[in-house]
Amino acid sequence: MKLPERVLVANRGEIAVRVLSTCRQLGIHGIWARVESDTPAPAETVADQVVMLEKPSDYLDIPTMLKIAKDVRADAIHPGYGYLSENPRFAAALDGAGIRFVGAPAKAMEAMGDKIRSRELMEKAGVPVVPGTRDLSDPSAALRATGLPCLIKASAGGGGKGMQIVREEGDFLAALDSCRRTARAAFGDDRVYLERYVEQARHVEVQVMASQDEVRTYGTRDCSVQRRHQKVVEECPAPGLSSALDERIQHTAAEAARAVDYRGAGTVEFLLAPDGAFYFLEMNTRLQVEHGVTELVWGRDLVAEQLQVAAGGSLPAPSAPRGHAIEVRLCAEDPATGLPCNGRIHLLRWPSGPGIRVDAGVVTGSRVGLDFDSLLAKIMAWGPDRREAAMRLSSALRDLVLHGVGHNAGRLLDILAHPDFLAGSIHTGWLETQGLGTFAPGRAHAAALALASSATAAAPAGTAGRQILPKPYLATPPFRLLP
Amino acid sequence: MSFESSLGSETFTPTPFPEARLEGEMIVLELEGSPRHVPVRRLEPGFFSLELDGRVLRCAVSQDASGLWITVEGRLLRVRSASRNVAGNQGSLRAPMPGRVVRLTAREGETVEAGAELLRLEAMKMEHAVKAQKAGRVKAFLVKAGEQVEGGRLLVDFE
Repeated sequence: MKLPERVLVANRGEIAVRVLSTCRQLGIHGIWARVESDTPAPAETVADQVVMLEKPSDYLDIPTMLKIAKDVRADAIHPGYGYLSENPRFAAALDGAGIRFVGAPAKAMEAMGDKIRSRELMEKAGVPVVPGTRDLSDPSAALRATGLPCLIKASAGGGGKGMQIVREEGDFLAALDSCRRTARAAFGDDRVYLERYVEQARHVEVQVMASQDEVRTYGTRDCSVQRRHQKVVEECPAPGLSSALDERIQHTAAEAARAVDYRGAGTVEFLLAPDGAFYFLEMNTRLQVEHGVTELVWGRDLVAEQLQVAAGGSLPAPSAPRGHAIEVRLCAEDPATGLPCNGRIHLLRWPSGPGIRVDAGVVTGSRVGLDFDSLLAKIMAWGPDRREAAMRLSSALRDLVLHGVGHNAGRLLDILAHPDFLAGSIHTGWLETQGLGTFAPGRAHAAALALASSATAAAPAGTAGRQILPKPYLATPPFRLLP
Repeated sequence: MSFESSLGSETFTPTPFPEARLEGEMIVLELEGSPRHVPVRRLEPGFFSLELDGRVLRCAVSQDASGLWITVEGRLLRVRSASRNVAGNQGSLRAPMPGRVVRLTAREGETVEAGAELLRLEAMKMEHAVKAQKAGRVKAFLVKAGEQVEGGRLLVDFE
């Protein structure tokens, strides 16, 4: 087995840093593709070489990426997550050009990319799926087969568009009609399907790593703290599961991976019902945002393992899980309203300490725009048990200072301190019902403001205290530190 | 110097705050009519700690063109400079976030109820309806559909 020698990273932000760091540790020449305006960025420092893209959408453009890979003589491309990471045509195009794709086989991506086909495949492989049907020729028979409460979803849809929850049989026909109308208007396709709605379900997933000789699982993760279907907090392992249930879920995930002849890193997602029943949701055929908590607990480098599998090699020796890890996603948003916001970071302190890991996509001077997603950094804490991991993570968030763009650290602190979270009894609808968004500035903020105001009154803005910064940050707009 | 803190499309002066002033190296907070002395320990520029209710709280404060940035124990408060919020009649609406104007929902000259959607913004794949704070008349839109706007930009002249 021979590892790639020159790896092109076709992504940005924290995941580009993550992949380039492993390349650096393994002595692989790391090349980062970036757009000109995306500077300063931490990936610049970690990369051995930087190559320019014309525009953000180039990250999605197969011919452009292929051309760059040839120009820089890359022998492998790591796509990170999102963008081209789950695109079978990209994998096939690279294969044709003799460049390794550090990701899943094209066939596995195709099979798992189609919701209906993957569901049928899983049923055949004995993996439980949520009861449901596509055959709506007799609506009342379809409803009987699915059971109540149920969801009506658009076949062509995504992002929950047109989705209807039906709790009473009497509401069914009207909801069916509404979903079809929305689907026709939004997607030009009014096909819909039924699925049982699992109330108070948790989102539990399994990290899979497969080589040509074996399919391994590296434990469960719980990602039930979600807002608008976006994960906010993730942890490893999923808390409160009996070891028998945890093992059964992991075993089922391995079966799902075997059914599509999987290779590399992947995640099998399940809905876990309060009664312990679990159902296949989907398989993500890539490295996931939340892979870091698994790395902390299992003591592994999943990017290194991806590179080894891409080179046709075997996996390093197995390891045993130890302790618990929790991650929060620090995102750019208005702390008061939770709405997106942009800006330029002028002051930044990341937390550190025992068990703390920060995977950051920004540095002082970084512009946070609306072109890219809102993830600023992933802050993780490992502890010997869940309680300690949560305490360490709270303490780390209290040490965080990031000025120049709004962020959600306060909201994350509220979640970590919430009795429901500490009890581990969270379902995917929990966060939306908590109203944790209303931020009330406290007495300490008033005191800090008094101190700042006295300093601004003493020295009018723009005259004193402008920071002299090293070169890449010279373009940072004037700001000053108070008091 | 006066400040307004932005809470989306609404602005408010920091009245929910207790009164506070600096006396030497001590902040005096007026709580329910009685003064409370808060010791300050200055650290490197921009950083200091306060002692309040027996707890030591780490703080960072900086200022850029948009206003003040105050972090206390990881929690961020933005206090926008009052100068950014000049002009505009009572009830006029500012962009609660930067983004693209998806559509103008109301018509110019139209009289609307409180809570009526006036226009729609989109950013980071999220749509946000900008609504009338009170009943009134849409005098004029100050933006066009498809236009990219900054957060805080005046969107509607409303009376």
